[in-house]
Amino acid sequence: MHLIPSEVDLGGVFLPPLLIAGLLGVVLASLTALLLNRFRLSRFFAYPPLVFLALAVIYTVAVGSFVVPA
Amino acid sequence: MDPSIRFKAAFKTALAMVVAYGIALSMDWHNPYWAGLTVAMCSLSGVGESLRKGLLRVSGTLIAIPVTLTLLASFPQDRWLFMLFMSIYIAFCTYMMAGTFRYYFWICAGFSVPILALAGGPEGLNAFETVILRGQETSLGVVAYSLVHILVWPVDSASAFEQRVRELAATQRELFGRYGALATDGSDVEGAEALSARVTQAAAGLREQLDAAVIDSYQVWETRHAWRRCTSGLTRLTDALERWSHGFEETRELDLPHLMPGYGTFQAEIDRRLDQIGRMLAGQAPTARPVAQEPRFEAERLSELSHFHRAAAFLFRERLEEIDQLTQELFATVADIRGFGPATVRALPSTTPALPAALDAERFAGVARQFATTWLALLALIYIPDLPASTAFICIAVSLSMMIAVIMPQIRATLVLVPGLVAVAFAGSIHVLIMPHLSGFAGLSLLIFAAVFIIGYLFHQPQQIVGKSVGLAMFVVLASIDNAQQYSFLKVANVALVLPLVIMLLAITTYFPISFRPEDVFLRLLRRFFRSAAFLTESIRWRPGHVPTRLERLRLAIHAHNVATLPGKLAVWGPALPPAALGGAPPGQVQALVTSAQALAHRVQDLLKARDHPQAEFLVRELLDDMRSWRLGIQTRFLSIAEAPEAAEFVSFREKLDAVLGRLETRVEQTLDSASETDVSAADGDNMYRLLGAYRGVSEALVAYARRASEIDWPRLREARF
Repeated sequence: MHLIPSEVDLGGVFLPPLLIAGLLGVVLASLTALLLNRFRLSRFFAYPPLVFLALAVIYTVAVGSFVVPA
Repeated sequence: MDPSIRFKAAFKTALAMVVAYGIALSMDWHNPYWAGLTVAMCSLSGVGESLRKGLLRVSGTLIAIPVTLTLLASFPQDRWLFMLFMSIYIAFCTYMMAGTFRYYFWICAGFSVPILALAGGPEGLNAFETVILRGQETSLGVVAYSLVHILVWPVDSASAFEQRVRELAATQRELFGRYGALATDGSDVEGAEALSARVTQAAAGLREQLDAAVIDSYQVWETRHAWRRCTSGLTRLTDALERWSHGFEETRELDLPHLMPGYGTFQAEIDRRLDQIGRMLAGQAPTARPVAQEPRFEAERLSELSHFHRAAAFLFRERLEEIDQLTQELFATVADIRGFGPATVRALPSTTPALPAALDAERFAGVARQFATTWLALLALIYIPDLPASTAFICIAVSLSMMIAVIMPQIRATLVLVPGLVAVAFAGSIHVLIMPHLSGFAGLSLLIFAAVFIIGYLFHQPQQIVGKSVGLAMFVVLASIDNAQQYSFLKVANVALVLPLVIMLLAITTYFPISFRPEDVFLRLLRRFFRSAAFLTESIRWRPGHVPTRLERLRLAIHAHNVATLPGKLAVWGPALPPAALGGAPPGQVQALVTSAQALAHRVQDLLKARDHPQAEFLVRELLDDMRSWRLGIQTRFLSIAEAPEAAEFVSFREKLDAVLGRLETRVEQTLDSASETDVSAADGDNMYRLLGAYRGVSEALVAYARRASEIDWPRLREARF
C-alpha cells in the first residue's frame, strides 16, 4: 500500500485526496447514523448532530490515513 | 394534465428563453444569463401569474439596487461592517417574507444584494454599471416571457381564478349539506372529513391567483376590492363551517328537528343561497334573493332539556346565525361583482391584527436560521482558502436559506442535493460536450430551446416547480452563455462542489442556533400552543371593573394569535415527522392529533368570545366558585400538557369532566330555581348558556385531544435521533 498522498485521477480529472476522504467519511458517518437510528441506539447520545460530526471527522481521518492517503 | 397544455407551457418557456438570450447577446450585455434566470424563475402557466411574479422580481431588484450601492459606498474598505449590514438587511427581508403572500418580492430584494455586490468584482469600480445591468436584464427577462405568454397560446389567469372560486363555492355548498346531515345523524364522518380537506385544498393559494387575475384582466382589476372581500368571505365561511362541525358531538344528543322546527327551512335557504352564489359566479342572474332567517327554539322542548344540552343548543344556534350572516354578505359581494345588485357591499372586518403576527416567535426563529447560514457562508468565504466559486457559494447559500427558513422550513436540506447534482450534471454536459461545437446563434438558440423545453416538459406538474426552477437555473448559470464565450470544466466542477457545501451549511443551521428537527419543532409548537391556551383561559377570570393595560392587551393578542395559528403550523410539521419518531404508528394519528388541536383552538376562541358577553350579577355570585374551579382545572391541564404531552390522559380527563358536568348541572339547577325574574333576564340566561356551552366545549375538545394524544408514543418522539 502506498501511503503517499496523491491526486485521484478520474478520467483525466484530478481530485484532491482529502476531498475523496471527506466524501467517504460523510458517507460512512451517514451509514453509521442510519444503523444507529434503525436499532434505536441514537437515544443514548446527548446530542446526535455532534456525534455525526465527530464520526465524519474520525472516518475522514481513518480513510485519509489508510485508504486514500490525504 | 392534458399533454398539449404540458407541451405549450414548455414551448413558451423555451421560446421566451431564446428571445431573452437573443436580445441580451445582440445588445452585447454582459452576464446575459441574468435575463435567462428571470425567465427560468418567473415563467409560469398563466399570463397573469407570470407577470405577477416578474413584477415582484423587478420590484425586489429595484429595491436591492440602491441598497447595494449604499452598502458599497458606505463600507468600501471595511469588509466586516459591510457583511454585518448586508446580513442584517437580508435578515430583515427574510423577516418580511413571512408576513406576506407576496414573499417573492422580499426574496428578490434580499438575495439580489450579495449577487450585485459580488458581481461587480472586488474593486467596486464597476458596481454602478453592474447593478444597472442587472436591472436591465431582469426587466428584459420579464418583457420577453410576457410577450411570449401574451402572443403564443395565451392562458387567461382570470378565467382560472374564477373557475377556482366557483369550485370552492360549490364544494362549500356540498360541505354545508353534509354537515347539516351530520349534525343530526352522525353518519358519514369520513366523507365529511374528505370534503373538508377538498375545501381547504381549493382555498389554498386563492389570494395569489387573485393577484395574477388582477394583473391579467381589466374586469377583475376593476372589481378587485369586491373580489378580495369575496375570497375573504369564502375563507371565513370555511372557518365558520368547521367551527359549526366541532359542536356536533354535543348537539347529536338533541332532537334538533323538533327542538328547532325551522332548522329544515334554514338549511334549505342556505343551500339555495350558496346555489345562487354559484349561479352568479357562472355569470347567470340570481333567481332568488336571500331571505332573512332566524332559527328559533321551541320553548317547551327547550325547557325539557338539561342545562348543558340547552347550552349546546344555544351554541349551535349561534353558529347557524354566523353562517347566515356570512352567506348573506357573500351573496351581496358576488352580486356586486357580477352587477346583479346594488354596489353597497360592506367591507368584511379584518380578523388578523398585525402586531401579534409581527411578533410571531417562529418568524424570528426562521430569521435566526437564515442569519446563521449567511454568516457561516461569509466566514467560510474569508477563512477557507481558495473556496471554489465563491460568488455562487454566497448567492446560493443566501437564496436557499431564505427559501428554506420561511417557505418550507419543514423540508430537509439534503433533499435538494440530489436534484441539484443531477441538474449540474445535465447542464455541465451541455456546457462541456455540446456547446464547444456550436458556431453561431442559430445553433445556440436551438440548444437553449431544446434544453429548456426538456426541463419544462419533464417538470410540468405544479408540485415539481422546485425541480423545474433548479434545473433551469443550473442550466443558465453553468452554460454561461456570453458573446465572449468560454468553456470551463472547472466551473462545472466548482459548482458541483459548492452545492454540497451549501447543503452542509443548511444542515448545520437545522440544529444551530435553533433546532429545526421536525420532532423538536412539533413539540415546541405544541408546548407553545398549550401555554397560550392556558394564558387565554387565565385571562377570562372574573375581574369586574378591571381595565386591561396596553401590555396586557398585547400579551392577550399574541397568545390569541398563537392559539389561532399554531394548529396550522402543526399540520405542516406533522407529515415531516420521521417514521422512526412515530414508532411505526400510521401518520394519520398525528393528523388526527392536529385536527383535535384545531378543534380545541376553535373552542378556546369561542370561550373568549362568550366571556365578552355581560353576565347577571346574581348568577356570577352564585356560580363564581364552581366556574372558577372549572376554569382552574382546564388551565392546570393545559399547563401540564404543555410541560409533558403524555399528561393528557383520556380516561382520567373523561371521568373528571363527567363529574364536573354532573355537579354543575345540579348547581345551575339550584341557582336558577332560587332566582327571581328580576335577578336573571332572558338575555342574561342566553349569555349564561353561551358561557356554559363554551366551557363545556373547551372541556370536551380537551378530552378529545387527550384521546388522540394517548395514541402517540411521546417518549419515542422525544428521543435523541440523528
